[in-house]
Amino acid sequence: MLTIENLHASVDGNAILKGLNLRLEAGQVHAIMGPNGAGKSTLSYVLSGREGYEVTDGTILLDTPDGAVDLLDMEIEERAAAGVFLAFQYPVAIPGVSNLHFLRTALNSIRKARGEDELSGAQFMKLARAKARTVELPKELLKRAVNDGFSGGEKKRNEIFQMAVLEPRLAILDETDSGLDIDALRIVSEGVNALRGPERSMLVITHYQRLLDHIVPDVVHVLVDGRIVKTGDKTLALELEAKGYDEIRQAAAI
Amino acid sequence: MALLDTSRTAPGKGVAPLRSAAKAALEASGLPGRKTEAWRFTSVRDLTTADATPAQGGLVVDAAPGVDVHRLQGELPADVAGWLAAVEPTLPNAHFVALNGVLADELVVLHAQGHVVAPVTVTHHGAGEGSVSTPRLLVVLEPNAELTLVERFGGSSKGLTNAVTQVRLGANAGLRHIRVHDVAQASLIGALGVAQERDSRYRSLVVSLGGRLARLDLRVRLEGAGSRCDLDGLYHVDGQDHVDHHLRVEHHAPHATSTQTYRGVLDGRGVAVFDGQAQVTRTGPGAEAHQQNRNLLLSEGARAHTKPHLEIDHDEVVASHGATVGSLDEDALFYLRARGVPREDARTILVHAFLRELLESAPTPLRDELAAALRERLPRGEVTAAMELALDVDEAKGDGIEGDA
Repeated sequence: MLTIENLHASVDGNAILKGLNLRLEAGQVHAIMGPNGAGKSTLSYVLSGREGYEVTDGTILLDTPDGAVDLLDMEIEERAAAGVFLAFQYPVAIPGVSNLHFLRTALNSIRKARGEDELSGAQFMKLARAKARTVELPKELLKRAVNDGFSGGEKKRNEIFQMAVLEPRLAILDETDSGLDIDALRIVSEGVNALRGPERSMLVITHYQRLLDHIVPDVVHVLVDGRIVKTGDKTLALELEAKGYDEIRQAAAI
Repeated sequence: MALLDTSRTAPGKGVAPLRSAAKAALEASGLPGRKTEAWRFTSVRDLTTADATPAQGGLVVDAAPGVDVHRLQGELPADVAGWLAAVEPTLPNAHFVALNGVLADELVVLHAQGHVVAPVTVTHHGAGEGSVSTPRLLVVLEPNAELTLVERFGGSSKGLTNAVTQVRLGANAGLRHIRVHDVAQASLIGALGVAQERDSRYRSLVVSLGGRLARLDLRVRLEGAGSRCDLDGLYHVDGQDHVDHHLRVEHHAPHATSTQTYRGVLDGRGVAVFDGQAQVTRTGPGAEAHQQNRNLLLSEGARAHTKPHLEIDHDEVVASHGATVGSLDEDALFYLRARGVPREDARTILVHAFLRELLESAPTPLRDELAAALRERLPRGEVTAAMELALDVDEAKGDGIEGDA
């Protein structure tokens, strides 16, 4: 589904990603763990196309029904239309824009870009109501302005709600667990797990092993200093939690 | 005569007390120039050189049950004269008010009692090219009265409207006052004075849709304890538009509250001036005053001049003031685009939302009309129309989110 080769990226002239390679198969969930400053968030932003992140080398290929495309050639919204979804670490509040209006515009923009019919108001509302229930998102929040005045947990649930409606091929969850209490974490994780499927791949970026008890990954990667230094199964996360990053960093001789 | 020539009065009887007061005032005050602080950023030079003749009428009242409308000339009845005297100290912008007094051919009085359900609309059609219209409106709310007043200022040719509106709110009265300045190639200079007795509420929304010149001087005197005014405004300038809002609130009583919340979007070579003042002096306890002006700049050529200021001389005041001049929030733009919304659509959505927030409290259908007018002024504004229309339709069908889920 996603093939990243030799990815180099810098911010303000500082190299952050230094030759990152990663292959994510369709239907798989990969976790990326790493210490602060390793480049986890940079990776999520480079994948989604945020401005200010300069890619100096490498390719990012995404499989689509029309064949593989290089995300680096595409605008932010084109990537979304190709099926990329980023669940933000810090979802942005947008006063004055209702959650539902926004989401319907997003969904129809994507459908239009794909040459599909736009959903009518009634069709959309039916879909939105059903998806909101899966993440226990109170219906009042649907009508409120996007993330405006939402609690931390509500913002993250809103991200997963949007993901459920937009049905991406590649979902990137950037520290979706940060700042959540255990109840909120459970709800968010269940929402994510419900979205696992053979045609959807997920990249779960996290700082804490705890999340991976709830969203059990197929593969765990350790990102240190801009590169994947170790890859293993879910037990790698436990090992990291026990030993810390220093040992892995030394073993990788960085 | 020139648009602002003071040597003659209008034909007809005019309004006697206004004329006599105005003549003295005109002799005392000259036309404002660039060195006049309140007119630093707004020039009236074009107005003083153009030829013009006074226009008659041009003010149309669409009244509602519960409101008496009087159109007066010559000498005024005692009660009206009394009301006028009571609101006189609130008037800002002495020179233009005096000019209005000299040229006004009638005084229109709206006198409201009790709860007036339907809104009252006053339409100022503006003067034709080369002429000046001088509408004069007095709005009086008896104690406990409630009214929604919509004042519309239109225009298409290059005339001048020099309008004066005075408002007196009796004890515990409430006025929702919406002014729409949509003057295109015409010029508007408006003075608005409000006097509030105890526990009265004045809630104003001023919407300025560009224009060659749209200037408002709004002064509120909170004379009674527990009175409150909320002054909201929003504006959009593009091309060579020039809008200017000067607000002044004076607290003269304890437990009074005032807020000033103005927002604008500036494009092209448009200019917007905001000068908000709140004066809290010797009022006793419980005063609260807040001011905020936010400007969104969409082009290099646009200019915002903003100056919120508080004048406070004792320490038991809850107060805040702030001003911003900035561009679109890049984080919000990224968020929208990352969800699939194309860049230009995302920009339009954010600009419209920035203005739209202040419209939320306006009564329908006016709110929708104003939202549509703003949308029409924005590039790709139809995007937000499609966005907003879609779910409104659902709700009308009873298929909204409040449904059976």
